[in-house]
Order: sequence, then structure tokens, then C-alpha cells
Amino acid sequence: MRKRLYVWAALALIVTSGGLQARPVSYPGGWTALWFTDAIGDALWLHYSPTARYSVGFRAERNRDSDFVFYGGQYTRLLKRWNAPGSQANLYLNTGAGFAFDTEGDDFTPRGSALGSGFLGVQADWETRRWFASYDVRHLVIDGRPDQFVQKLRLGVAPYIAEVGDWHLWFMVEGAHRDENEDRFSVTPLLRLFKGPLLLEGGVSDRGEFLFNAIYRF
Amino acid sequence: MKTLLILAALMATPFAQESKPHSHEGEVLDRTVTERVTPVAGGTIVAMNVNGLVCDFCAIAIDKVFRREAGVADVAVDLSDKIVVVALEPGTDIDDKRLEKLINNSGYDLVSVKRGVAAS
Repeated sequence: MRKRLYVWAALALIVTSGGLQARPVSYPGGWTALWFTDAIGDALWLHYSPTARYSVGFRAERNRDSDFVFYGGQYTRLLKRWNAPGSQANLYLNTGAGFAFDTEGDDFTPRGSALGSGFLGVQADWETRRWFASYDVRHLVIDGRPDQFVQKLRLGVAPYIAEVGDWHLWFMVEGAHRDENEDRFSVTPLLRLFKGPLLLEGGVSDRGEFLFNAIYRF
Repeated sequence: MKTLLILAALMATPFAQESKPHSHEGEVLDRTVTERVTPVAGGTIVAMNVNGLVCDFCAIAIDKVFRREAGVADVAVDLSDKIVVVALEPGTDIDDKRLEKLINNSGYDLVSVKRGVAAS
């Protein structure tokens, strides 16, 4: 397990230290707070972009399915952005390391000793003012526990084209595949509302599980 | 390995071609451009055609980056026309190279620049 963490760290270093063209995750000096709730848990990120090319921050997450909490540092690098007259596409690398703790049921109080943990993820998106598509994959390793692999595909359409400062509305659908203790698939139709620095998303999956995401930039 | 293969495939996809911005100087700009900002009397207005503008986060990034620049009095982003309009204080200017850097630092690509004044 420890060997695998070293391999990840090495891979992340190779990818992020190369001469890859990169764009900001946010604008230089910008902060981003993100909250995610889905079928298996919740996550909170707080990110700062020191330059136009990457962000560093804190990530806390709790997993209701596999009964653990994770606290650690996270690094997100915009590996590549494609800017076109009517569209934008991005490729991000997302990696981090920290500690996980066992929990029990709905009680998220950390129990027992800290378990070394790390993850590596890639996110890609393409967006126009009308259409949206994204793919997101993440592999999480926790010392002494089964690996967790999650991939998500999302498609969206805006029913109207909003201008800067207006409320932007998106109809989206997200398909998720989680390979934890067993394969698990879910489909979640959701609404995205977006105005200025605030983005909100809410939906209910085909399994009746609630999704809520919020992003705020400042 | 799965992750790396996906990463490699996405990076190889040609998406948009970058081109050098070109500049037009000193003309009286169209009212539809200048009315987006509050011009300062005697100040230059810079209108930039920019690639990659698709959402409010884009507009916020441009706004924050340009407002930190000395001499900038006002900034406006229009997603439909894909332009960024900047009103400068009298006696100040930002050269094309600097404009391109500011746009790049915001995360976008500069296509062309027009400098001028508001019609009286």
C-alpha cells in the first residue's frame, strides 16, 4: 500500500512539474470554497490560487458508505485549457494526501488511529454557453482499506442564454460509477443555478439519493 | 494507468488554435462598445476580443485581474459579443503585450485589441 502511495506521488510530480501549458484554476489571488454532498458522502474544499496556474487547499470529506473521514491537503493544477470563440475546455489534475479515520454509522467522530491516505484524480470539461460536458475520475487509497475508484460523467444544457450577473440555469444529468466494495451505478438529474460568484446544484438520483453542491469564489 | 491514458488522449485533442492578437489604435469606438463602461473624460477605452468567455466565473476573473492594474477606471465583460471593455484614466495606457498577459493570467486568450475614445 505504501509503495502505491509513493508511485502516485511520483506520477503526480512528473505530470505537474513538466512544461505543460496551464491556466488558472481561479484568478490569481482568488479563493474558492466548495461543498459537495452526494449518495455516499460530503466533502468540503477550501482553495487558494496563488498564481494563474494552480490552487492549493484543504479537503475534508466523510464517506457514509465506507465509514471513514479524510482530512488532508489538496493540489489542483490546470494542465491545459482550450479557449475557442464560443467555448472553453479544461483538463485538471487533482491530487492530495492526508489522514483518514474510521467512523461508525452516522457518527462522524474520528475513531482509532490515523491511516495514511492519498488520491489522484483527473477532471476534464467542455462548455459553451448552451452545452456542458464533463468527466471526472478519482482513485483514493487508504492504508489498510480497499481502494476507492469513482468516475462521473455529466452532460448539461442551458434552456436560455444568460448574461453576466443574471441567474444562469442549467439542466444536467450525472452518471456515476463507484468501485468500492462493489460496483455501483447511479444517474442523477439535477439543476444548476449560477449567478456571479455563486454556483448551486441540487438533484435526486435514481436511487432516491440527494445531491447538493455549492461553489463560491471570492 | 487508466487515468494516465485518459489524460494523454484528452491532451492530444486539437481544440482551438491560438493566434497573435492584432491592434487597432486611436479610433472613435462604436457607442455599443463604449456604453458598457463608465468612461473617464479624456481617458482611452480599450476593447478586446477574447476567446474562452463562457460564464460568470470568466467575467469575475477578468474583472478582478484588470481592476488591480494601475490606471483602470472600469471594466465590463460581454459574454455574447466575447469582448472585454476597459476604461482607462486620462494619461494612462496599457500596451498590447501587457493586455495579453492580463488576459492570459485571467485564463483566456486575447484575439484582438481596439483602442479609442467614446463618441462625444
